[in-house]
Amino acid sequence: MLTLFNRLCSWLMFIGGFGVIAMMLNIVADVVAKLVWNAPIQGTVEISSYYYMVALVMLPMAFVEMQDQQISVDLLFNHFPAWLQKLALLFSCLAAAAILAVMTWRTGLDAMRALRVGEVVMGGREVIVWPSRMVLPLGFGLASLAALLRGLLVLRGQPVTQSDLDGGMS
Amino acid sequence: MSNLVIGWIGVGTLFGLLAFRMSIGTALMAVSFVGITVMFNLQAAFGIVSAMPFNLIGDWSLTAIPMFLFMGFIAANTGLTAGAFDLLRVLLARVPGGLASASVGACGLFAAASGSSIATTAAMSKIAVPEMLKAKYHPSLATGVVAASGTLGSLIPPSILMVLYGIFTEQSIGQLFIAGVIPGVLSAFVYMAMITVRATVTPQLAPPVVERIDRAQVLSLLWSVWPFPVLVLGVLGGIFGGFFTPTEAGAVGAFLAATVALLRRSLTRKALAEAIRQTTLATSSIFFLSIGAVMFTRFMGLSGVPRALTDMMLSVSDNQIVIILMIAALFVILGMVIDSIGLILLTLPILLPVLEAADINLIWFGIICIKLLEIGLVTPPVGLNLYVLHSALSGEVKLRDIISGTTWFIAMDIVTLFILIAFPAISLFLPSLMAQ
Repeated sequence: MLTLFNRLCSWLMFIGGFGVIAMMLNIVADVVAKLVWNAPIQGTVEISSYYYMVALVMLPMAFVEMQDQQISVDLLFNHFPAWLQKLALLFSCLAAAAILAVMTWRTGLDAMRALRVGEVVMGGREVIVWPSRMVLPLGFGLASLAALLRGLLVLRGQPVTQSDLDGGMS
Repeated sequence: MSNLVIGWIGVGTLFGLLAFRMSIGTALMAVSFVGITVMFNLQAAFGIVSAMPFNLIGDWSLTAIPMFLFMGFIAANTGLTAGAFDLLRVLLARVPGGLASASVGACGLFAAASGSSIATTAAMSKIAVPEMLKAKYHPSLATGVVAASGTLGSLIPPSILMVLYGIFTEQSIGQLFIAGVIPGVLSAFVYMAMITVRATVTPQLAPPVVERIDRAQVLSLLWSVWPFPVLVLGVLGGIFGGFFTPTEAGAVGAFLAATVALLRRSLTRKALAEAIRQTTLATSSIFFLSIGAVMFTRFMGLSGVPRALTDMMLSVSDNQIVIILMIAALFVILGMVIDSIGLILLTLPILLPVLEAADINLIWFGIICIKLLEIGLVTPPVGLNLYVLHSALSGEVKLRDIISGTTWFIAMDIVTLFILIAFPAISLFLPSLMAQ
């Protein structure tokens, strides 16, 4: 179950990573077309901002959470006694799961509204954006689930922090 | 309870949560959400959550972040940097402490291909430190120089920190990039001067290296650094000349770095996959933090804390220099415990109104701010660069030696900082020449 979830997370991260390459090529092609033929590729900004970037930020979010790669401050934590470390981790995971659940719900409502009206943005040309709005609740939702799972792992005494995970791998 | 009191409680709670090792992004979101709910109601709190993340991620200027990260990670993973160090090593062979000065120069060059200090330090530590240790340089000098010079990565453009600063202060990212060039070069020269003087006074620190140099070798080394002019011209020339926006420059830079690596046959599938993985993880976590920072900005704005702080600081003095020195002290203290991206996003929502009220030029302050954040990167206990170096060398040099090695460099950074504060023109001259 846990392995399955981890695999799903790395798959999503891989798709997000594809966004990096696609975005780079698309923007470079646009720059070249603009400078050489004075004919920009219509919709580059909209596609980059609303598709590649959304994929790149949201899809890996659960993976980032699972791997404990979110930016945090370790200073005091490292001097905590073991029971307090466990408590702090559990509290942080549950808080993350809760606030991410709120984000999931609200961006989800937003996505439903966008779907109903078939939302588009007008740039160089019309670009449909409602499908990319759907990616936000997906990303936040899985990240919330990831935080909850980490909370469970803490309770079961399994490693969840970056240093422990790295130590376990090498 | 007044909104102001709720705001201050929010700030206090935030630091409490951070001490409990809650991720900075989560803590910012949670505090802001609860704070706005207490001040107004749940509906108002939902209001700031709904459309904001999508608009933030869809901000075209922020697209520059993954592009510059990708460029730096490709350069680091494909060994684009090795040539620069070798060339400078040969050129500076006769100068006392030449290997250390070569490390400074190579870090500066690599910084021009990388948007992050961490990537710069990681890339250079494996190339430069072993050479210096082999030449019997004192371990603390050999490591200190790379830990400190790695910070040039954020000052010399491109720079992820500058992109974030530019977005949150609504300043031109292109101008910030160009403004960083001279201060970056100045920092490098101040380091080199200090190394030369110290190596002359105490030759045991850096024994002279006996190396025969022939012209053919220099020429072949010169040839091996051709990627650097290509990248610098492609990225900075493009921005300075107004040919493309910083985001476009990032995409072009990443593409150039990949093409160069492909031509040099160093773009292996493994290196590419690693660069993509690092870019993806870093981008996702930076944006997660940024979403929290935007919520916190709204919360702070509604609470009136920044206004109160502005009044407080202006009542002490309305002298720009005094205000900058107060902020500098705050940054140095917080920089010891919080890493640079977290620190800049935590403090700007509160400090920006102070800067605006004192009419401080935000491009100039941007450069000072980046320099301060960089000092934070090498000051223990949370000097990220120290740990990056320590782990890149697999513990070959003690952390204590690395820390003591950076002391001299931090002293030089403070000198540079005063020069930058005393002479705003150093930062503002180049941007004033830019094509609008």
